[in-house]
Amino acid sequence: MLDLFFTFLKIGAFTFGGGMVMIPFIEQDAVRTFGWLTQREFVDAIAMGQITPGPIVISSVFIGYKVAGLAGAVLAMGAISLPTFFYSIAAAYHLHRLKTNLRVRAILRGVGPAVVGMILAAGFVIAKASVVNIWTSLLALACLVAIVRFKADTSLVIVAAGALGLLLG
Amino acid sequence: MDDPREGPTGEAPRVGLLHLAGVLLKVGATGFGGAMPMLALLHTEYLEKRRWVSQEEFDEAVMVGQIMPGPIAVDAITHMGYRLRGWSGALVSWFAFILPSFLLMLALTLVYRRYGGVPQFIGLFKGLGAGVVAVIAAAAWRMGRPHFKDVRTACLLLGALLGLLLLRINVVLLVILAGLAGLVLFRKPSDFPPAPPRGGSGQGKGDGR
Repeated sequence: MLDLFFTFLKIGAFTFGGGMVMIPFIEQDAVRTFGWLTQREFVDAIAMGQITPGPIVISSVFIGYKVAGLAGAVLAMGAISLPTFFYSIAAAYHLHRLKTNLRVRAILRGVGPAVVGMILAAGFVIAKASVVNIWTSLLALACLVAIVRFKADTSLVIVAAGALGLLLG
Repeated sequence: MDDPREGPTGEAPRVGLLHLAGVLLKVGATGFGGAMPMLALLHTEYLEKRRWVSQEEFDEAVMVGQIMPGPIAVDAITHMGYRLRGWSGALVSWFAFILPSFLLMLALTLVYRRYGGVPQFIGLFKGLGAGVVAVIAAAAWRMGRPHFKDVRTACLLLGALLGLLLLRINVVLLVILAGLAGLVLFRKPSDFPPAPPRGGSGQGKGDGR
């Protein structure tokens, strides 16, 4: 339980750049370090986080539940969202400085691209686990085109992909 | 604007906590598709319908979301909640926004644990998995493209990718290293194109969720 709390607190405190960044963090800690989830469950948890409304950090509920039931779910969700809560309030006092401070912007300018690299790395790992044959490759490609080219809504795309999987798989 | 709780106009009516909670429960339950669609919804509810915040305040909240760790929308609503009603406003916003998706995810988790092994579900999740790969690739594409305009940011991106894939560098260490690299690499004002990130008016191109 303590591991769970501190792992998610840490993830909440370091995921610069939005919820997507959480994916490589969770992959490294929950799957590789602690073995709380299998690769398969991890992908499924992310998928469920995408089809529910709200931020995708909500996937942490699944992990918390698996580790320690309902209390684990509450703990994981609380721990990952707590840093966000305090950061946002602290930001109210330092808004002006944050906006203009060149050092802050230099740091963020460094972190920004790194975070994309990390998301890509997690994407590769997930792709290895879920794009396993011709139809999953074609499906992934079709979804990518739908989102990037036709600006389709991501949760709709995921639901459609799931429905096709139900028919084909 | 020394006291962050005072809006720049000062004419905005005091927002009821219950009212705030109601609006956020609704946004939390209907905000599908990641940060940008959610911000568009918030823009409608907070600004267009109710004038709780000005456009400038809304843009600032989005910027807070982008600078601070954590999901962009959660940062933004907590920040605006604080500016509207202090600590209680922040707490109510934060809680009401997270609650609907928490309950939905909990329900899905229970279903998954009960029926996850059923053959039909395996096909379903194979499809979902392929969809997730596409969503991540699309996010990386949108977020990553601007970074290829500068050799330094392009190298940081590729360095982080390879560091994580090949060397399995710890993710927290990677973020810290990238921040330090940023301090060393970007020293001139010209290193910072188009000022701090903006785009809160709901038409912003998605970057992260």
